[in-house]
Amino acid sequence: MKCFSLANSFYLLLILLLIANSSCSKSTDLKPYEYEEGFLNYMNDAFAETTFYDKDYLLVLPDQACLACVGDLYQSIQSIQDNANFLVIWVQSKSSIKDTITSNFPIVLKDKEGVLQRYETNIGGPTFFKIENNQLFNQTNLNAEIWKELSIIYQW
Amino acid sequence: MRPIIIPGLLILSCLMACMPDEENSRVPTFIEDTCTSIQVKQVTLKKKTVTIQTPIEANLYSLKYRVIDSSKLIVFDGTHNTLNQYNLKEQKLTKSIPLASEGPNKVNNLLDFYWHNQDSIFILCDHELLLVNDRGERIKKYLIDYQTDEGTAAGPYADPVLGLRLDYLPELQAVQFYFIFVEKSYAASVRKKMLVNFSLSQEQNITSFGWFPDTYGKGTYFSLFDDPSKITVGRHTILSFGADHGIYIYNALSGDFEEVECGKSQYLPNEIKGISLDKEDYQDMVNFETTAGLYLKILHDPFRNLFYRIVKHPQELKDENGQLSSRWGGAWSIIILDQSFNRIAEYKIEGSQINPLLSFVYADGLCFLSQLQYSEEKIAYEVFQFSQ
Repeated sequence: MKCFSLANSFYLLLILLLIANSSCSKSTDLKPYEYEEGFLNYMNDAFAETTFYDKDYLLVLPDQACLACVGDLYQSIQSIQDNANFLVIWVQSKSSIKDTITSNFPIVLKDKEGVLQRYETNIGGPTFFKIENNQLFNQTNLNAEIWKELSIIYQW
Repeated sequence: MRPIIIPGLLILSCLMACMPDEENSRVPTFIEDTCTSIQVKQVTLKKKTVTIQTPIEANLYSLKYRVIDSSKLIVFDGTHNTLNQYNLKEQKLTKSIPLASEGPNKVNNLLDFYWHNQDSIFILCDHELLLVNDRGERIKKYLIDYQTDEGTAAGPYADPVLGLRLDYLPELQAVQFYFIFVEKSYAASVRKKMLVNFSLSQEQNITSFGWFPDTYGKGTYFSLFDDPSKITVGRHTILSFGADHGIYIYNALSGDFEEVECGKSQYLPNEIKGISLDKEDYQDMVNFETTAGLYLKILHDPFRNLFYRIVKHPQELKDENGQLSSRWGGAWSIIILDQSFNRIAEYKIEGSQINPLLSFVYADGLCFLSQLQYSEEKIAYEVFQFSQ
């Protein structure tokens, strides 16, 4: 009876490990970015660039209708310590807020004319991408909560 | 008993199924064929440009503004939490009213404001209605009553860009605003009465009214144009929908539906097609707003006893360079209506001249943000003065 129970526990542990593993791999699955062609055209026209500077993550920060709605997110972005793997693009900002929050990031591209809106990119607010082999994956619309979740998944 | 009840219920449910769908016949259905001709009369037009030395938020969608006392433009500055007053005749900032940014009097997420007089400025927020004076001092706070005849609303909403406004009804001592409902389906959400009159003395909703036309809730949606344009003039509340040719008139006090008038533009097709409900990408919405021809808003001109319906014309998705066309940079027109909503004329404005997302009426005419003289330091308005 005791052996049976130990075997049961072993199988239970194995199943739990498998579930944990599958949920981990699920969170870092790479989902293709449907509008990548439009985004590369944008990069080319706005910055004469179609590579992502060997970075792991891309942040795109367009202007927001409601600054108060993104205050917490901007604070989180500003306070990130491990930012060496980020490429940041900010779009059409008259305020100095985005300059402040991105001042510590190694590469910040500035689209002051708002060229982004002339391309089909599916970007309407602060957006995150995972970069792999110079391709964009996992387009994610950002808010403070989602940023927190991403920071756990990608461990920055 | 049971054998009698069951067939009885079956017969009753069959009879109910055969009855006309009451939900789809709450306001008269607009007959397209009768809404095509336009009575064209001569209108005269004078044009001028007014410039104000003021910065403006880059994102026009967030602008909250209103004209008071015939030539004063009040603009909410969300960065500094102030109501800034500009004199359009003198073309300068004349006053700045501070609103509390912290503490119990905090003005949180301002949706719209109504300037009754210097001692009574109503401010509609997410969860409350505030009454302040022109020194920014709070006089009273009313909690929003989410309960209506239609159940529990998701929240109030106002949008000066669409002309969906907070209004004040002196006869009822009430304010009137729009509620969003979020039901299991989009079709169910747009079958709710959308407007409420909120009594200031009873501190509760006393009237629910206003229906979406049948154009809405048919398996498509209209993005920014899902919400109507609403103004109240005297005892009439007027609803104009982005994707519907009709102009719907209600009794503002009782909420009774009165009539629907033809407000069709000669530049729009009979049927305005929306976005399929299974397309939810941001880009789908942008592409729709770029290409579709729609009615942006309806404005009242009390100085000339006219109404203006602002029409965005259809355009191609991409320009000759393969870039997306400017969403609001195409052609527009203004349908000019008399007090009885008879169309007098439709005046076309070619692309890249005006941006009607910022548009209002004051003593000198109908004003649009100028696309021609836009800069970071100052705003220029193109003023159109029509007269019969």
